[in-house]
Amino acid sequence: MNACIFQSDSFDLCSAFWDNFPSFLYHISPALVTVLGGSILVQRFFISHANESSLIDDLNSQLNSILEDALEYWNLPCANGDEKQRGKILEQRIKGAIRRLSADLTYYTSRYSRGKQKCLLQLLTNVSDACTNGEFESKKKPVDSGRYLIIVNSVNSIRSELLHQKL
Amino acid sequence: MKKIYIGKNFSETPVGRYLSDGPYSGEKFREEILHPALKENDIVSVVIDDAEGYGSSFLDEAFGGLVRKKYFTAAELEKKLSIECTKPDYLFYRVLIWKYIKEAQPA
Repeated sequence: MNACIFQSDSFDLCSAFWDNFPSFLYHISPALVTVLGGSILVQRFFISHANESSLIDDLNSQLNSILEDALEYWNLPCANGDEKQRGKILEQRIKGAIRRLSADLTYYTSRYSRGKQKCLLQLLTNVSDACTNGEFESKKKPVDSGRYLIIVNSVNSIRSELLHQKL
Repeated sequence: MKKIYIGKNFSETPVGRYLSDGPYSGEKFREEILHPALKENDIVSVVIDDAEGYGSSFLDEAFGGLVRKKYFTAAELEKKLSIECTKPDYLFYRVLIWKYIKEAQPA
């Protein structure tokens, strides 16, 4: 008899819950939408930040490779045929790397950091000037060890700006 | 107004500073194309984004050389010369060209 009463109460409760479920949903839906929307926004923020970080890492590795090629190029005497040939290869690599860096930096600023567009353009200009001015592509290019320090400084300026954005 | 396309009117792969550096050097561009055009026209527009890329040595000699050779002053060039580029990743070349023009000292 008791079990029967308990079953009946339980049935009533269940039925009351389902009867009121639409009204329950109606009341919690704003909170549900807020939580779902918020979590999507947070997820998008972290994904975007992760993508930005990996793009900055790639820009950094491009800067490293420019630095290595520029070091070798400006310390290469270009006296004999092999050295001249190596010099020609490095000239193309450095010019190509700067063009690629420019394209990727342009994408980076348009996507993630419009406010830094002018600053990064100026820093890129300094890198290009440091790496490819003077006797660059000249037939009688001398060894110019001093230029390396100018290149390092210009590359470091752009690198620290990018790291600042990343952190 | 005269329009010069570096890629179409000179070379898609300009290289070097002096005539001795090759057939498409900055000095050659300045002496054979840019300087005559500036002499004959009130305004000259140079389109830079149809070449594959430039070394700063080429740009310095071609544009900064106009001031060093005393063909024009930087102020005159600001009125006569316009550097055009539509591709955003070529913008830094334009900044470099004006930097070389402004920093060049008549020899």
